[in-house]
Amino acid sequence: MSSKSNLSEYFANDPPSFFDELTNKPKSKEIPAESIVSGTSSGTSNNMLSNTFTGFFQPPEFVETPELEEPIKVTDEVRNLWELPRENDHSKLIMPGIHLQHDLPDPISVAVTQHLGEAELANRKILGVDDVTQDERGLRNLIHAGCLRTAVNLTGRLLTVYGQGYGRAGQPAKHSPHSLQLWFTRLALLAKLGEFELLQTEAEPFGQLTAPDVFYDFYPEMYNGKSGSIACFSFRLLLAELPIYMGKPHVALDRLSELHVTSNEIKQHYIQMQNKTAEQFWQKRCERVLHSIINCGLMMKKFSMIDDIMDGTLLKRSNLSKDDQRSLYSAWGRIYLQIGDIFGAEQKFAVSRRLREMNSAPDLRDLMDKGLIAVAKNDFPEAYLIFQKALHLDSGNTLILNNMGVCLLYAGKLKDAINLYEHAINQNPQRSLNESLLVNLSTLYELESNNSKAKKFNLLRLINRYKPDLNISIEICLKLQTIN
Amino acid sequence: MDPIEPDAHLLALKVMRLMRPTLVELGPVVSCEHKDLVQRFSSKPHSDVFSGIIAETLSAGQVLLLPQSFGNIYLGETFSSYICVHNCSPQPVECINVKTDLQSNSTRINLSLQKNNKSAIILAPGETIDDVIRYEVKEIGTHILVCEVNYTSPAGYAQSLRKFFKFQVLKPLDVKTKFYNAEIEEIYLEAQIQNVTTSPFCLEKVELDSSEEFTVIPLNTLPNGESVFNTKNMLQPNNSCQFLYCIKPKVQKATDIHALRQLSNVGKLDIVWRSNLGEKGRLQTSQLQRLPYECKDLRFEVINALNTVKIGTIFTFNCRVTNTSEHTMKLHVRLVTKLSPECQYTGCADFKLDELNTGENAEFPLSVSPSKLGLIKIADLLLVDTENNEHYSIEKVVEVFVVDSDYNKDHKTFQNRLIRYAKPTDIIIQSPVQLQVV
Repeated sequence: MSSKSNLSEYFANDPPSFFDELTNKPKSKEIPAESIVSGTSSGTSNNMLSNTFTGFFQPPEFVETPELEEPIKVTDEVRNLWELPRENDHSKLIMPGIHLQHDLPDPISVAVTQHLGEAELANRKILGVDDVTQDERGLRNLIHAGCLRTAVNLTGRLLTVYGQGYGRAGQPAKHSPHSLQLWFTRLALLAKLGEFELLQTEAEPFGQLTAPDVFYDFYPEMYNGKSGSIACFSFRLLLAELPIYMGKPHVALDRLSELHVTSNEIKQHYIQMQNKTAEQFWQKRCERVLHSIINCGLMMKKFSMIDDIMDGTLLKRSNLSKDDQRSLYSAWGRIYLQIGDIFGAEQKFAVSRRLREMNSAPDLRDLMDKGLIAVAKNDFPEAYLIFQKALHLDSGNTLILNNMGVCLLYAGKLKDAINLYEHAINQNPQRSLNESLLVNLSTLYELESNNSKAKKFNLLRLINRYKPDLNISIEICLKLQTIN
Repeated sequence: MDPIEPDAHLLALKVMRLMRPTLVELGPVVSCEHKDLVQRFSSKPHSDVFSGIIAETLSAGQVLLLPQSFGNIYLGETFSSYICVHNCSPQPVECINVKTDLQSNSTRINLSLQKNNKSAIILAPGETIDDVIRYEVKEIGTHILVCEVNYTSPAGYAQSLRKFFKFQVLKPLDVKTKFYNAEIEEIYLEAQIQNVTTSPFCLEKVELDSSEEFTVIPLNTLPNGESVFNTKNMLQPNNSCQFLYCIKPKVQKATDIHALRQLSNVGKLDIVWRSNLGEKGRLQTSQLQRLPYECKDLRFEVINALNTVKIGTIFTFNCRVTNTSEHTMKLHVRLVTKLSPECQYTGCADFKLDELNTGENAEFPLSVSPSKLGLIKIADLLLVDTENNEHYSIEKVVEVFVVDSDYNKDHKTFQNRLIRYAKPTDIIIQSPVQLQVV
């Protein structure tokens, strides 16, 4: 099986599950959820098997921090510099609009209604648009709380104020830094949520932000002769990356390469101007684009290209901090592991390790890397012990627990793996109910018995209570499509 | 034993293939800058192990995900599978015996669950018997995993539950070999390995395990010990790469030409590769056969010759002829030089050698005087076996670089030994190679 780099992509075209082949017919005689719960939970004290959950989603405390110091402080002129459109062609102006008449539907509510009944929805108490202030502060609050769908809906309301709401696509629009920031935020959230179709539709009018009306120069009287791009760099990057989500990494690679060329030219420009700060600022942006190019390369399995970028560019920067170097080497090693090059991965991890402070104990990164090497060597009991050590450094870390559970299964300990995941969820449902852990746990449930449906429904109950959003569909997450 | 509906069984049997987990990223990577409206899109900074800007934007993967499909399995890989028998009834089930067999086209192998070593087990309601089975697949083609659970129903009847899982074992590599006979003692082997799977893999080890009579010098590393390939030995689907080996007979055999001829088994190639997250496969080729020498009667060697001479001086080189045929030879040696302005040297030879028995050799010097500058070629040397009336023509005896008389660089370099065969058969055999599991 191929090694895809992110979860939602991984499932995009999921072929019928292995279990479809295994079970020669659907388990039609499966006992309804409720009766199983009362039937089997009598002997155990396991919370996961009871449907009497208490507790709800708690939005984490949100304190608007005073604006932090920018890591590299530059003027707006440096920040906004971009290649100006060659001609002021008014027929190519950007006329965006929202494509949803109503709010973004909540697939968790839909699934809960379908599988557990509408009454269960009373337990869903996530933040709604009206629970926050109707401005960017509210937006930040929602994102902080992980209520990304609600945040999308808030951007919808705010953009409607700008006259760019539902049905306004194709109608003349006026762009400002704020309106374009709202658009960027909305589209980035749609990407995070895995709502790629809507993302593509709504992003389409923006193209690659080469139209004249996203530059200050287009509005000389309004911005006092200011020059440069109104659209932020992050927005350009998001639009260049967009084809990745549509399964066309080669298109994204072309766009990202263009973005890198322009960014690099601007950097060269500041080198000539001997503006050190601006040079560094653009250097960072160039590197950020290279990271996206590497992500593209991973999807396309262009490993030699990744090597060239790592070795030839990213690690060449002289003022790279030790921590950044370690990050790079660690990531590089994990990329090697994906291809199966254990020796190569060990070499990279060793460099990363040597960059750690002398005589300090192995940190989380070291232990994670080491654990993955043990996984690659098929030594799952050893990998489990290493991940366990990592857990001591950061107890309750969902990611580590997730990896420990996988090791337990390969070591022949199905029951222990299930207990570990269930325990993690019981301890901190809001934090532990993430996509990968849910997929893994659902897989284990299917392997364990014919009662998986009931257990998955209990997971759905918990998700309903604690989880504002998932970035892959709930049917895939809980493997519900195999039931019906 | 009456067959009963699978769903009516008291036990459930579940099987899942355990290929390596996949390393994935938690969702799409979206980033923003300090001055953007929102400074981060992630709500849970503490759920990531790797902190820092770089770790957030490079999606190298950090989350292990269990396999979500059966995937492909290749010859030489290990088939491992999780087997789980679950008591889904409300009463204990007795006398449980789980049997798993892997059936291929030619064999049927029993893969027992280690936890199932007792002959009969009792399962309380909700309990499971579960374990991992492993087997290195040794055959291409259809395989069927046959799982059978025998148990006794509460009423005391023997029951049996069987499930079959069919899968194909595919061929992972194509190996092609070419042999080159450099001289009788030295053979060069070029092995071309092609990835015929659907995803990239990394060749972890490619070694020629020589047979007892030969020693092998792999020629795949640079003088500093690094591989001649780029760091990863990574092969994309359908791509191939070549490995080169120099093979020499062990010393005691090298002198005996007859013994040498008998040696044809050079050795086996041992190949280890790894794919996704270290999934390992290992294969060995069948015994590789060197080229036969039967077709040659005579071996001609130039033993020492300068590679550079000054014009106007005599170029003398020593030759050795070995009778590699089955009969005695009487050789008449003739170096024919055409008299023409184009001829690059002057000098000829015409003499007879003593009788040569099988395996014997004779040495003689030859001299010419180069008349042109540059690289000149001495040819043809005619060897006529007067005993059997056979003509052997050596078309390329030796080459020498002729320099002007004022050229003063050191020219006392000797050429390596040059060897020609009387019936020069530049045979290159490209043969398909059988692959087998070790």
